[in-house]
Amino acid sequence: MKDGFRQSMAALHTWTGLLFGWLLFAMFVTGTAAYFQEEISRWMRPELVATAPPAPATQAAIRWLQSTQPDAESWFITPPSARNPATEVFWQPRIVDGEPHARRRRGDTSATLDGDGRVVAVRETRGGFFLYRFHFDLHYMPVLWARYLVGIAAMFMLVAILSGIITHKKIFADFFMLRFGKGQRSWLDAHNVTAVFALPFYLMITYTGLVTLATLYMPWGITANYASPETFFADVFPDNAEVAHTGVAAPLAPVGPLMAVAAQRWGGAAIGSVQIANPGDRSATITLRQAANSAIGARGESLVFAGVTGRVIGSSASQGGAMATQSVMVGLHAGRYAGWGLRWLYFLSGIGGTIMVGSGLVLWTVKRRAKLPDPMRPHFGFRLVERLNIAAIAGLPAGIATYFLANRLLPTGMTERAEWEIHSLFLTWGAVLLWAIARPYRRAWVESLALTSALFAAVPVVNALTVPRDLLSGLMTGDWLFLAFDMAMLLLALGFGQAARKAATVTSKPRRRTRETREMAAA
Amino acid sequence: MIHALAIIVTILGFACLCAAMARHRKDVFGHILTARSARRLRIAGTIALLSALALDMTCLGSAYGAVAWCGHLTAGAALVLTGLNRKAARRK
Repeated sequence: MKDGFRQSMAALHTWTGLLFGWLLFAMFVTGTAAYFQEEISRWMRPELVATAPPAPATQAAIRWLQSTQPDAESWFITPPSARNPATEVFWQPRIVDGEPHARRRRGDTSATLDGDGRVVAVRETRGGFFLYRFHFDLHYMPVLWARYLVGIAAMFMLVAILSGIITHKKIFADFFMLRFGKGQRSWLDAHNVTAVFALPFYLMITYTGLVTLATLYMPWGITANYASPETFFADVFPDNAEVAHTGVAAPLAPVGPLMAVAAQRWGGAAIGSVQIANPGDRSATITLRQAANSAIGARGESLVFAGVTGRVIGSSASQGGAMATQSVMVGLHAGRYAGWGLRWLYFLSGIGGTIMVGSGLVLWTVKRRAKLPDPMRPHFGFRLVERLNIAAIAGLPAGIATYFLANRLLPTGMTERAEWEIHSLFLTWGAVLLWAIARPYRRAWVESLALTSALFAAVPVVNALTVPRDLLSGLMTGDWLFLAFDMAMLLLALGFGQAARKAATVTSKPRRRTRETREMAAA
Repeated sequence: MIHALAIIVTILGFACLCAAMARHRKDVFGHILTARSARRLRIAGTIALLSALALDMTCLGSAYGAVAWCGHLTAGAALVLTGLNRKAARRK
């Protein structure tokens, strides 16, 4: 009975893992990269160099908004921080009754400013933010569909993790078991080791990932208690409530002293964002929010001031147990609170997860290849999995490398430049898929992995040729971000190069059925 | 630098646990251990991993420290495995 249970769990693990494996691989790759989204964005906007103290920079941004967007409904300012040297602003234009809804591009309602409130001429890019958004919004499809798809994949991941734990059975006995050069056994070892070593991380990241979109996946609690979702969100986030516009003009109080008040109240925590509703009106409010790195909970405290007098008129409601739990779960998932050390640990665990999903996908084919009736002519399903594996495992990283290259190579004045950076990612990904279908199986692996390696290796070279911030000058001036980025690209190139070399040298001769393979067939 | 220190402690812990396992004992020591010394190694390893948790929670705060400890465990185990494979490869 017990063996029957374990076997059914093994089957569940195999098929849930396979069905969404490719999507999960893409989510792991881009989600892992998103732990460094601010750094990637900085690399992709090399024009941003100087940083400025947050309070004067915020005041300067307000001056800029007053002169360019005086009639906006609200302004949103992200002051410079340790991870982003620029001041980011965006605004919500006031909707005038009777005026048709103008379709606006992102650049029309946002700007990047320096410490003195001047617009910095940065290349148009979505930077690391795109990789972050892709890991739950995907691309070229309605966001809602994507989020449902991603939610189903995450649910499958949770099932695969739990059934995997039951299937594995020798978690502690095989804890350090990783044998090389033994074909299927080695793939299983690699899958097990990467799965076990960061198991708490995978459980956390999958579960909390579902929690971040829980009200989308399970809206019934809200529909049972509220007439409309808007009233629910207004109840939960009272500091976001809209204020009626009076039409009486009044000047805004200086923001610097308010930031000092907030920082003092929060024990010195940095200000993450400044939101000004109805600017220039007597009803203006200024909402300051704590920076994300000040606590694990994703929903930091906020303080609302009257815009004209600068008096405190409200603060984030004290959270109930459920809200606080949700906030901490989302915080744990996104890791915005993490310092450098912990951020790298998050990143390495994410890489572990990527390898776990990738090795699981490969294992599916390795395990079945030996049992094929005619190994020279596998059936369609087998060939499909083989080719999709190549396209996912080599194709997406190749696409990301191209995304970085396109950032340096596309002309800065180009229209829809940011969109074309993203198109270049998917064009490369698609090309690898076509290549994987067209070429003989093993050659396809070697060539795609070698291409990915070459693309990553090209990133530091192209960077040095197009931008004054390269590896050598980085070494001399201590430009750590650019130095680290180049090193990471070279390490990725090395890793994929090594994988290509391995794929090229491996011999796939049919092996004798040993005790080991029988054991594995049962697992 | 607390991260480096904590990872070193988890490496010590996992190395002890690994050495206590019959399968890896030969790779680590080159000879078989008695059951009693294996038991001692297991206890020492467990104590090391728990003291890494204590270290993390004291220096980084209980919540942040507990999260960081999970990462340190992952890093420590991965490094011990790398070392073990290098040792085993050299023995061959």
